[in-house]
Amino acid sequence: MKFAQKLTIAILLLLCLALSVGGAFSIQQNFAHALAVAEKQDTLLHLRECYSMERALTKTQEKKNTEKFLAAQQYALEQQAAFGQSSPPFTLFSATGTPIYSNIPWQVTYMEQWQTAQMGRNSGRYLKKEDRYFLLLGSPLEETGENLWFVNAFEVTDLFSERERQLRQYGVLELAVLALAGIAAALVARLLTRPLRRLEQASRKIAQGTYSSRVQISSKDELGRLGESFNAMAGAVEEHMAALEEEGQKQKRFVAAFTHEIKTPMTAILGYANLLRSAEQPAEKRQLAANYIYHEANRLEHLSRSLLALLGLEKETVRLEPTALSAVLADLRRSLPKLDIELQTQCEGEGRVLADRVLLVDLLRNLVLNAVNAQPADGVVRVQCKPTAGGWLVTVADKGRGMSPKELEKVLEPFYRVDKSRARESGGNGLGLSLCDRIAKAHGSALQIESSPGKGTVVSVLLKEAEE
Amino acid sequence: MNPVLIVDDEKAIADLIEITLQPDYQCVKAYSGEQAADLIESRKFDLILLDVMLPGVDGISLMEYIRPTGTPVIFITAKTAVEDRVRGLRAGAYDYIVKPFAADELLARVDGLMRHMGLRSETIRLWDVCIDPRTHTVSKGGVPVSLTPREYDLLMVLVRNRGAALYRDVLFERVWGLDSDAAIRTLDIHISRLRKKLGWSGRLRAVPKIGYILEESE
Repeated sequence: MKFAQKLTIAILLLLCLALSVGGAFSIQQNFAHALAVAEKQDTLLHLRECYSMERALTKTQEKKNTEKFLAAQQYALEQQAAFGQSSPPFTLFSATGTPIYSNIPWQVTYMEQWQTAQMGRNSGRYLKKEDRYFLLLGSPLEETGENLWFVNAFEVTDLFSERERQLRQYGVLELAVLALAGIAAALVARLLTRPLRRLEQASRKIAQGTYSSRVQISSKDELGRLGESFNAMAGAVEEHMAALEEEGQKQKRFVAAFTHEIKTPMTAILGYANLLRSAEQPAEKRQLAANYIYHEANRLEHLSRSLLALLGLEKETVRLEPTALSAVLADLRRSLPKLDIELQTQCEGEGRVLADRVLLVDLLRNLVLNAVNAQPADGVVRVQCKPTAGGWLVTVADKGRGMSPKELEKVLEPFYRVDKSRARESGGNGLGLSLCDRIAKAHGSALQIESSPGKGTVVSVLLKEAEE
Repeated sequence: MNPVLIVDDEKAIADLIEITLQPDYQCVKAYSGEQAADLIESRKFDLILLDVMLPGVDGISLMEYIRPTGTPVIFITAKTAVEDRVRGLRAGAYDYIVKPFAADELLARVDGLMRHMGLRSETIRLWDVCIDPRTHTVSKGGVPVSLTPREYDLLMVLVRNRGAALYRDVLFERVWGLDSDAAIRTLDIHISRLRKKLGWSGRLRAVPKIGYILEESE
């Protein structure tokens, strides 16, 4: 069942209960009042009747019941003649409870009448006989001196049927009110639950993959706040999904590049090995094949080493120790092969940074080799160390070819080469900068690359200063 | 006959393809897209073997230069994803070969394509023996020679590598496969049957300690 329906039914049930209780109570009050008034009148009437009866009986001094019967009958006839139907019927009992005369409708038994008489002068008793209601009132006739009992039966059916009529009328009215209220409640419930329906639709859309789906709830209440936080959640989900997708794309590109990178040397190795093993080859062909196998296998080995370094750096935490920058620069110079260009190193002051010395030298070496490959116009690669607020800034700058912004975007991705053929000639496998970036990250930093085509490239990494 | 153009930025692969195709095909090598485009404009080729991933102008873009010349192209690719192959074929490649490739497969595909294009004769002629690769039939001096499938396969391996002394075990492995239960003696029996059926007793020779060699014709 929908929430709006539940809400409607709840409203209707409450309304129904309130109306029914209220209505029934007020009708009952009216009825009780009317009954009290009637009882008062009837009691007075009964007392009068008692006196009249006593007078009628005292006329006859006979002790016989037949005489009393005749007197009672005489009295009843007189009353009938005088007041007609409105004269109350009565029963006359002897002291022992034997009815002497009665014109009370037969439905009311003598036993009931006798019991009423015994209850006392001022207590009436209501009786329902078929569709008719009676009020029985009984008193002893003391004046007769014989302990006779006199019981009147007043018909009060009108009062009861009036109550019934009111109840029926009220019931019909209540039904009509409930029908109208039901329609109104349904409308209100729909209006109130509209934000919920919107939320449901939006969340279903998100579940189906439309992560850009949002809800529009302008109210300032809890639902409005729920809508706001739902939108915030959807935003977070969307962002997260986009990040995951980007990560997946990166992974895919990595696998594709890796496949290509590994398949080319594999093809060469397999092909040349097959050539050697299937037929006797002339010496120069044999030499060529063996050469290729050797170099391509070397390339694979280099690749696997770089990859392992890359993966290892990802998992292990590198141990950072205070390291003198001057020592790092000296190591760098020693590690570089003989270059055609000039390497200028400059350190402003005695800097000590937190670093893994071997990895830091590796990083700078890779950057310097990249700078050399960019063929600087002035034949110089500059390595500079500068103290800044956040630590020591180490930069490697060249005035070489530079890169376009598009190339710059991808340059940190594994296997990406700006100039594929030239990089391969110099033995690059496209992992150098990825490795540098990883090393920088292991030092709690990141590579900052600024480059423009034709003007050169500046790569910098910020290192934490070692405390004395 | 025009030469075959091999376009691959990896010298090792380009050389390997050249060695595989020789001596049946004369080859010209290009190591970049630009170099290839220059060559295509300057002369005619019977076939182009094209690496998809080239620095600069890549294989797919190079197809723009090649299509007007009508030269058939076989893509050489390290990419195995179906979408990459479809992209290559859509761009107008006739066929594709995935790295790493077997030399025999490459040669068979190139042979097949050249015959199909009518650039090479449909049959292979060696002295008075004529081989039709489409129907796998062989005739000698116009008289059909009946060969078993194994004998035919063996003949084709020998023909493709004629002039080179082939190692016995590799020869056996190529015809019977790695998982064969047959004894290597079977190879010798098949060789002697081929000699008898084709009358090549002097031309299909045993090389001591190595295996067998089919001499070059002419």
